[in-house]
Amino acid sequence: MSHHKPLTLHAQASAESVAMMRVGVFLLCAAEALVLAQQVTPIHQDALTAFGFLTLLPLSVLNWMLSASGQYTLLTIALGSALAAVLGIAPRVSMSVATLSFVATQALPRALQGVVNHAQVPVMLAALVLTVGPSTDALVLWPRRRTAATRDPGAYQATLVLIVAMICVGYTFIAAHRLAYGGWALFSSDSLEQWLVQRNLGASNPESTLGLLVVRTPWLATAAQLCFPVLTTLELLAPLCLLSSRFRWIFVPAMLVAHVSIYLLMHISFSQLACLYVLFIDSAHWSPRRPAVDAQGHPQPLLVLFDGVCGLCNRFVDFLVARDPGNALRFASLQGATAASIPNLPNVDSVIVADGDALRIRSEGAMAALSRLGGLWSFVAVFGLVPRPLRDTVYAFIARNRYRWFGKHDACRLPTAAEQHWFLP
Amino acid sequence: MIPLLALIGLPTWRQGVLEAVIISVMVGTVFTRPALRATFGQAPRALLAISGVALGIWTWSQLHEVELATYPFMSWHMYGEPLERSGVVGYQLAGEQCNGEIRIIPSTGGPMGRRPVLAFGVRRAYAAARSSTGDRAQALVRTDSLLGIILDRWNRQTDLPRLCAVRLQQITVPVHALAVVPLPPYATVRRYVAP
Repeated sequence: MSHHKPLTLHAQASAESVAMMRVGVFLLCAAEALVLAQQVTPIHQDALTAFGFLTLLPLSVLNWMLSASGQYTLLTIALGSALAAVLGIAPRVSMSVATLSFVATQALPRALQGVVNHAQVPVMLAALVLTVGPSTDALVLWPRRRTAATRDPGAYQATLVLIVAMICVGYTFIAAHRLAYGGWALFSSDSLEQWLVQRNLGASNPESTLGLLVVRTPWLATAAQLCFPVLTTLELLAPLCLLSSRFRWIFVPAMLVAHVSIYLLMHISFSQLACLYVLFIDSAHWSPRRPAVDAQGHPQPLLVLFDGVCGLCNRFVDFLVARDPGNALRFASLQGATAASIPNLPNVDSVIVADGDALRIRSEGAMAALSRLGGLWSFVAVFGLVPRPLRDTVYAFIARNRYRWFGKHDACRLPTAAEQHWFLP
Repeated sequence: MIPLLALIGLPTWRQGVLEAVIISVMVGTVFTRPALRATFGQAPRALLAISGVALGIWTWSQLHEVELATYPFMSWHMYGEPLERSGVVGYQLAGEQCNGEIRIIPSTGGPMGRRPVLAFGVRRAYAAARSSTGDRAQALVRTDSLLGIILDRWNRQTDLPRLCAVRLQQITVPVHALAVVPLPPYATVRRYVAP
């Protein structure tokens, strides 16, 4: 039996985590299809550099794709299937069609310039991984029937980690090529300055660009030259992000700064890739956590402890009860016996959420309860990316004024006969 | 050794082998960690199989410097090799109005679309026509076709003055004077007249 330390990145990933990523990635695909729709132009064959799968197509198919009606048809399929994937409509089919049409619609305009945008490749790879991965069993917004989540929850972690791995490998490829082919000569030469000039020559007024400013300001040029090997080193070590949260804390901000700088200085946009950076943050911070399980492995409901005499808390509980898909939540008042039996209960007087042995308080508790409702409510967990002090300040402001704004009852709320299932003493 | 590596398609074999070693060490060190292997072991088999094939094509493409043929699994060799040129070359597009007036055509926006696909396409095609390798005549035809598309798109916009020709203009900045000398003027290198 091995005793290795398990991977912590996305260890709490749930079906909803993967499904939320599916929504994000295919929304990016849909947005790209919309942008490309503004560039539709009939293309003559002699203006095209056919590459990849385009070279395999029969001439009649390629000619149709090059016509305006062909491009509009392709973009409509791309947009429609991407939106279907977002909404969870026949997800396996819609994701496959969306991924293929995304690759196709990307290829056509790029074939005009004989080059592709590498920043969009990770989105394609993410779409590919999600198409094959276990992401069809959650966040189907209008389900005909709710299918059960995959039995093996580790599959969700593996899916997200695989996408991160592909992004990291891409960075390692860039750095390895730079070191092998460029070596020290690359970092010590004026190649970087030449690229900066070249990338800005096409601007309407090159003299006013930031790229030229850097080249013509000695200390800025030196700083840029020094950053080049540092950036390459970070790119080379990118796969360490999979293993070390400390390295992720260095890598992600540094790469974001690098990509913004590259955009400002060289007009190379990495916006689509930057959207995928959310995967470098553990999914517990932006998606519902996997439910805690009992000794038999059955998922345990979240226990919501609330102030039984507070008008706002009671409305919040009514809201949750009305939307609970079945066995996701249980409720007990903070003044009752269940709350009294929980050791070390924090001194919070509005809402506390018990998730197995873990107690979540303030904004964390409210988000945990709402996101456990599933469906669109899962997206409430995205607010976990907002720094906790900021979230808790808003929460505390509302909690302080809750009696004044929403009233105070004389006695604790008693469940109706239909609600008995949800309430503990 | 060299013929064998050339046989498997690594013409720049020293760099190719070094690149393969760097990638193998970095990726191998991380991906063979028990924690990561255990995590990937939980992935569905179809996911692992397709990811493995994708990574295989991608790695092959990277080591063989295949830019487009294996799209969307292409080599990532951007800004990877030192430049040894006599000057930095740049391009711009200019339109000739029928009254002879010249106006600069921006790379993006309006008739050029949201992304500089057409502008980059013309530059690359013309650069290919000037290069010592490849089909130069075909590259020149491609340059004119793309200039024709730009002219056609511009003239379809009713709110813009009609153009009778489009010019591809070039600028060459001496490398030794990047930081000090003002930019020289652009010179027209290709002109496409509306049929």
